[in-house]
Amino acid sequence: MSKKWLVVLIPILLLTFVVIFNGSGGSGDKGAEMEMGALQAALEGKLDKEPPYDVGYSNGLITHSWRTQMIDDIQKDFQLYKGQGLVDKLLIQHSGNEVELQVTQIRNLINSGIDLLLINPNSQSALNPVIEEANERGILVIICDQRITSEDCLQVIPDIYQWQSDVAKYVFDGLGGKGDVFYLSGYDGSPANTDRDNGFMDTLAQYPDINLLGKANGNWDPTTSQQVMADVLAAFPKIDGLVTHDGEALGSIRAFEAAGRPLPVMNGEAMRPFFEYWLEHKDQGFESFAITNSPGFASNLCLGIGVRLLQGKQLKDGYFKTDDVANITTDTLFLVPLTEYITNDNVEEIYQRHMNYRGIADYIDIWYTQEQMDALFE
Amino acid sequence: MRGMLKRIVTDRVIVAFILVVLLFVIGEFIVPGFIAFRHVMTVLQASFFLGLISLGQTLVVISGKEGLDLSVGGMFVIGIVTSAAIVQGSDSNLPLALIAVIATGFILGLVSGFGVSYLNIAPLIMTLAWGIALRGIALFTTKGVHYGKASPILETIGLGSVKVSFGSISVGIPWVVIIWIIIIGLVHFLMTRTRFGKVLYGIGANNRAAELSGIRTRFQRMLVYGYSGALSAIAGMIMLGYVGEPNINLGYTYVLPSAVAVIIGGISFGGGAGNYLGTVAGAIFLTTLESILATLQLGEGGRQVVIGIVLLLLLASYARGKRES
Repeated sequence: MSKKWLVVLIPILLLTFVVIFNGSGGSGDKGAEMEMGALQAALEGKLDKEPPYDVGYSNGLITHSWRTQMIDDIQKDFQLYKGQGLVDKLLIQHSGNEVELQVTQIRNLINSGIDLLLINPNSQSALNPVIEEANERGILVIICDQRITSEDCLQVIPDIYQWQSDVAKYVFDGLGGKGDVFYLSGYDGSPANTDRDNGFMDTLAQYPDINLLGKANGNWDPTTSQQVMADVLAAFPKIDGLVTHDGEALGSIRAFEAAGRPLPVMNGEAMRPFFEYWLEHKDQGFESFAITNSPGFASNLCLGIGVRLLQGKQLKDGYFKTDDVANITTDTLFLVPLTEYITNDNVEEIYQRHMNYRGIADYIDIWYTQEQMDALFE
Repeated sequence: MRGMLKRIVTDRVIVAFILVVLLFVIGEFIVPGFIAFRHVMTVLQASFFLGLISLGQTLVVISGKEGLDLSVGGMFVIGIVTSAAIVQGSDSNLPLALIAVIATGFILGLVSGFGVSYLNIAPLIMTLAWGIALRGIALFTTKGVHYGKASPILETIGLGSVKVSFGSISVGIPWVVIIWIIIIGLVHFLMTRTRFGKVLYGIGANNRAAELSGIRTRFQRMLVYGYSGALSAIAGMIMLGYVGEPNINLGYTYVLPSAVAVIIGGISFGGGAGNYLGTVAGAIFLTTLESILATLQLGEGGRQVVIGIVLLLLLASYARGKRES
C-alpha cells in the first residue's frame, strides 16, 4: 500500500471514530432526556422566573385580515396580563412569507432578552435550529397555529382534522347519509389543508352511500370559490350536498344563486358576512352549521399557557401529547379541539356577541377564558 | 383565398379568438354542457374583471417605453376598499363612490406614471414597487378590517343578468357582459377615431417623432398610467358587486394574467401597435382555461403545470411567428 493511500485512509478512520463517539454520546443524552420526561425537558431551566416577563411574537404574513385580527386579539389578552403585573413588553415582528427573514427576526427577539417566544411558523422544519438557539438561552418557546417538526418546543395547534370531520359529518347527516356531494377544498399543498382533506376523506369513508362527485380548490377565498363553483355547477347538473372550508361558503352560495340553482345541503363558516346572510335567510328556512376557528384562538392560548408556565405552575397531564401523524415522539403537541359550534339556535346570540365586541371584523372571536386556561394547570 | 387565409393566420386578434373557440370545444369534450349558453355567459362574466384590468394594461403596453403596469392588483384592491367604504350598502351612495373610485385610481396611477415618465424609472420596477405600496396602504387604512359592503344595484351589476327573450326562448345575459361590449365599442372608437388614439400609438411607436410633432410625450405617458389605475379601480368596484363584501386579498391573481392576456392578444411589448380586441380574447382565453381546469381533478399542482405548459407553447409559437414575419 502506497503512502498516498494512507494519507486518505487515516483521516477517514479518524473521522469514523469521531462520528461513532459523538453518536453514542448523543444518544446517551437523549436517553437521559426521555427519563426526565419530554415535556420537562422542553421546559428545563426556563421556568419559575420572576414577573414581569417580556414576550416576543414572531408572525409570518400580516397582509390578511385573519392575521391582523389575530395580532389584535393577542394584544387584548396581553393588556390583561399587564394589568396583573405579569408581563411588561410585547415585541411583535412580521416576516411575510419569508423563512429566512423569520429566522433573523427570531434571532433579534432572542437577543432582546425576552422570556417567552411565541411563533406562528412559516416553515415546518426550517425554524428548528433557531428554536434550539432560543432553548439554549433559556427562553420558553411555544409554536402557535401550524405545527412544525421540532420536538424541542411546545406546540399549541387547533385540531383542524377534527374540524373538517365535523363539518363533513353535518352535511352527510343532513343528506340522510345518501347523495351526490361535491368537496370544495382550500389551498392545495398547504399542510393545514392536507390535515383538513384527511379529516374530510376519513369521514367520507364512514358513509358508503355518499357519492363524491369531485373536488376543487377555493383557496379559502370568497371570489375564487364563487368562480370555481360557477364552473363546477356547469359540470354537475345535480349536486345534493356541498362541503367547503371557511372563507368559501358564502362565495359558493352566491354561485348557486347566480346560476339559479337550489342550494344544496351545505355547511357554513364562522364569519360575519356569512352570519349576516344566515340571519337574513333564517326565517325562510335556511339552516346552517359552522365551527369557530378564531384568529386569536391558538395564539392567546399560547400566551396564557406561556405566562402560567413561567410563573412555575404545573401543567396537568394529558394535554401535551405525542402525535403519530405529525411524527412527534415527545409530549409536546397540544391539539386543541375547537369547541364553539354554531347552529340556527345560537347564531343570533353569537352574532350579537361579535358585533358588541368586535363590530365589523370578519372572523368570529372566541378563545379560552382565563378560567379555562387555569383549568389546564394543577 | 390563399391570401385571405394567410391574413387570418397572421392576424393575432383572429388567432386569439380562434383559440378561445377551440378551448370552448375542448371544454365541451371534457365537461359536457360547457358550451351551453348559460355557462358561456358565466365564463364571460368571470372574464370581465380580468378584461377590464387588461384594458389598462393594453394602453400602458401600447404607450411604449417597455410599458407595463404591475400595480393593477393594488389599484383593484384600492377600488374595492374605497367603494365599499363609501357605498355601505346604500344605492344612493353609488354615484359618489364611482367618482371617488375613478379619481382615486387615476391619481394613484399618475404616481407610477410620474415615476416612469419624468423620473425615468423602469416601468417594471416602478409599478411593482408602487403595487406593493398600495397593498400596504389598503392594509394600513383598513387595518385588515373589511368595512362596508355592496348595495343592491351594485350587486345586480356585478352578479346579475338581464333577461332577454327571443320568442319562446329566454336567456340571461350578465350585466357585466353588456357593459364590457359597450366598453369595447367605446375603446375601439377612441383608439381609431380620436386624437387620444393617435397620441397613444404615436408615443408608443416613435417617441421622438411624436415629440417633434408637438405631443408632450412625458405628460401623455403619465396620463396613460392614470387611466390604467382608474380602470383597475373600477374593476375593483364592480368586483365588490360580484362578491358582496370587500376583501383586501383580492386582485393579486390578476396581475400577471393581465400582462399575459395582452401578449395572447398579439400586442408587442415594443409598444405602438395592437388593439384591445386581442386582449379581450386573451382575457377570455385565460379565464376559460381556468374554468376547464377547475372542474378537472388535477389538484393545484397539476392545474399550474397545465397552465404553465399551455402559456409556454402559446408564447413560444408567437415568438416564432414574429421571427418568421
